[in-house]
Amino acid sequence: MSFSFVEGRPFDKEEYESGVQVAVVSESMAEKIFSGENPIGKIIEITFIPFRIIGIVRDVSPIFTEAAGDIWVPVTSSSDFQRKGGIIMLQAYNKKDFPAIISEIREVERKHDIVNESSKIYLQGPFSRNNYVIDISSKNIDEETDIIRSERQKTIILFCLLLLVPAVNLASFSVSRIKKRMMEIGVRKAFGAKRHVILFQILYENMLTSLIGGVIGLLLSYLIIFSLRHWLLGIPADGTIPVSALFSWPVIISVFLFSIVLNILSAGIPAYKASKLEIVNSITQNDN
Amino acid sequence: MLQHILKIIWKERKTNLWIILEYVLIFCVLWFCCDYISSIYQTYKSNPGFDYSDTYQIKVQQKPGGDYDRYGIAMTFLDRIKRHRNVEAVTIGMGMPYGNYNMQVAVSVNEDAISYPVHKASVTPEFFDVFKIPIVSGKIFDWPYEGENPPVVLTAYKNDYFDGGWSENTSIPMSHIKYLVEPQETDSIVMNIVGTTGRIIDTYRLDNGMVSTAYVPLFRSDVNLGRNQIVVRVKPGTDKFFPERFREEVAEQLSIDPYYLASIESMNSVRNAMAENVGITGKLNSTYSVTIFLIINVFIGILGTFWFRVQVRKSEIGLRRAIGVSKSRISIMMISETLILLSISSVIGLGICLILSAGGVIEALNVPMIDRNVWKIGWTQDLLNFIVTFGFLTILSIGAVLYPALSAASTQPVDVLRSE
Repeated sequence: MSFSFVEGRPFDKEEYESGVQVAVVSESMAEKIFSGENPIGKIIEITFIPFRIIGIVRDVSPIFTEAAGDIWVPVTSSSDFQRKGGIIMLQAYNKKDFPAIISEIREVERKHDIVNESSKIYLQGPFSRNNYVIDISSKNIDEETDIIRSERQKTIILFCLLLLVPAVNLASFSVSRIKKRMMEIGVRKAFGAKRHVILFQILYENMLTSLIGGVIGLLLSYLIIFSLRHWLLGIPADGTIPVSALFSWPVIISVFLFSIVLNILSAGIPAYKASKLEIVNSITQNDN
Repeated sequence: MLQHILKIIWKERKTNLWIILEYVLIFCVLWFCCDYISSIYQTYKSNPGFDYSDTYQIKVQQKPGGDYDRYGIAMTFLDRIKRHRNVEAVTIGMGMPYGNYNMQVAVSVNEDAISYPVHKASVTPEFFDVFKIPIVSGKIFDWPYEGENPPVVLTAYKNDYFDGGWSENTSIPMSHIKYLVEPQETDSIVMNIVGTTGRIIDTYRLDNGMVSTAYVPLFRSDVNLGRNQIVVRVKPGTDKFFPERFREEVAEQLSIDPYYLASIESMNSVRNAMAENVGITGKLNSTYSVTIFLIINVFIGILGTFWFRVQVRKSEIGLRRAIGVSKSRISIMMISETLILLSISSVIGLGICLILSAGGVIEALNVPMIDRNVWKIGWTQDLLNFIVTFGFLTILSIGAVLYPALSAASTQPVDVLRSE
C-alpha cells in the first residue's frame, strides 16, 4: 500500500519487532484530536494504553475498505497478538512470482509440521479490487479460483440480460426507422449509389449518434455515482471517491465499444436488407 | 374491433415481435424485482412486534485487566443509567433484537417428541418494557433466577400459534404449550412457559427465517457488561441529542473499572447497520436501481416505437379520419394495440417466471431472492407478482403510448392525404 505521509514516518523494523507502542494517524483523525497542533511525538491513549504518534498520512477514501483507517499501530504492540487472527498481505515484485511464493509457504509449513487444515495459510490473489467485493469462504486456492470464476460468470450473465433490454429497444427503433427511409434509399440507388456506400452512410450516421449518446451517458453516470455514492456504494456521506478510481480506461473503452457494436448491429442489419432491395421496390414503399 | 386490432398486429408482426420480446424480458425482470421487494416488505420491513423507537443501544468495553465482580459492577452500572432523568427503562441480556448473538436450539413441546427450532434469548424482565412487548397471556418471569429449569416467555410464530418451523402443518396453539424441553449432552433443560407474547421478528439473518423466541432469565454467570447487549428506552419527548448529552453527563459515573462507556447508538441505526452488513440494504438498492433502469427503458422503447409507427402510418390514419372515425377511437385503437401486445407478453412472461423460480435458476444467478420455504411464502406471492408487474407495465405503457396516440388522433386528414 502506498500511503502518502504528510509528516513523520511509518514504524521501522526495530519498532515492529519489539512491539513498541507507536502509532500512525490519518490527517482527519489528527485534526479531530489535536486540532491544529502538531501531533508528532504526542501521546494518545488507545484503549487506555499510551501510544506515541510518529506519522500522519493523507486520508484514504472509504471505498478502499482494507486500506482505509484512522489509526495504524504495529500488530506486535498488542500483548496477545499471537493468539488472534488477522489478514496478512504480501506485495510481490511480479505477479508471476505467486506460485513460487506459495510453494515456499508450503515448505515452511512442512518444516514446522503444520498439518491442521485450519492453520495453513492460503494465499489469495493477485488482488484487484474486484476480488474483495465478493464474499467467499473456501478451503483451498483451487476452490476459491473456481468460485471467483463462477461469480464472475454469473455477473456477466446478469448484465447481459439487463443490457438485452436497451438492445431490443434499439433494434425495434431501427427497424421502424429504416422503413421510413426506404424511399430515400431507393432514390439514392437510382442515382447510382453503390450498395456499400449506402450501408456505410447509415452506419456512419448511427456511429455518430452512438458516440454522442455515449459521451452524454458517461457524464450522466459520473454525476449519478457522485451524487448517489452513499446509496450505491455504501460510502459514508462525507466520504469521497478519488477521481483516479472513476476514470478506468478499460471500462470507458468497453462501454463505448458496446454501444457502437449495438448500434451497428441494430442499424446495420436492416440497412443491409434495405440496400439489397430493387430500386423500384424501395421507391414505391413509401407507406408501411 | 378486437379482431381488427389483432389483424393490424399481425400485419406489423416484424416490429411487434421485437416489442413482444422486449416486454417479455422486462416482465420477467420486473417480476423478480417485485418478488424481492414485496417479500422484504413482508419480512424485514414488516411490523416486528416490538417498538424500537426511542431506544438506544449502549456499548461497553473492557480495559485489559484482571478479576472483578462482573455481576456486582453490572448492577451498579445499570442502576446509575436508570437514575438519569431521561431514562425510562434499561435492560441487559443476550439475543435481543439486532444484536450479533443468534442462538437457535431444538426443543420439543410438552410430552411430544417432535423437534422444533426456537431462538433462545436471555434477558431481564425490563426487556419487555424497553421494547414495549405486550404480554398476551401469563406474566413475565422474576429475576434473578438461579434454578435448573428456567421460566420462559415464549413468542408466537404467527397469530397465536407456535410454529412447525421445519415440519409442514404442525402448528400448536400457544395456550396448549406447558413447557419446552431442550435436550443437552447429559440431560435436558425443561423450560416452563410462564407467559406468551405475539409475533416478534428479530431475525439476524433473513435466511434463518422466522422462528419463535424463548426468552429466559439472564443467568448471573452470564452477566458481562462487555459482552451483553444493553438497551435503554428514553422517556417520550426526549430530544435526538440524547446520546451526546448522555455521554457527557454520565461517562464519568459509568467508568467503573474495568469497564468504560464506549458508545451509545439509537436502535434504528443499529438496525440499519445490520441490514447493510447482512446485505439487505445492498440488495434492495440494487433491485430499486434495476427497476428504475427498466422503467426508463420501457418508456423510451414504447414511446419511440409507436412514435415512428405513427409517422409511417400517417396516411392510413388520415384515411380513417377522413371516413369519419372519431379522434378518441383512433387513440383507443393505438392504446389497445399496445395493451394486447403487453398481454401476450405477460402470459409468456408468466410461464417463464414460474418455470425459472421453480427451477432455482434465479438464486443460482445471485439474483436477490427470499427463501420461500423458510418464510412460508406460497403461491399467493406469485399472484401478487403478476398483478403488480402487469398493472405496473400497463400504466407505464399507456403513459408511453399516450403522446403518439393523441398526436395520431389529431392529424388532419387533408394534410396527410396530400403529403409526399
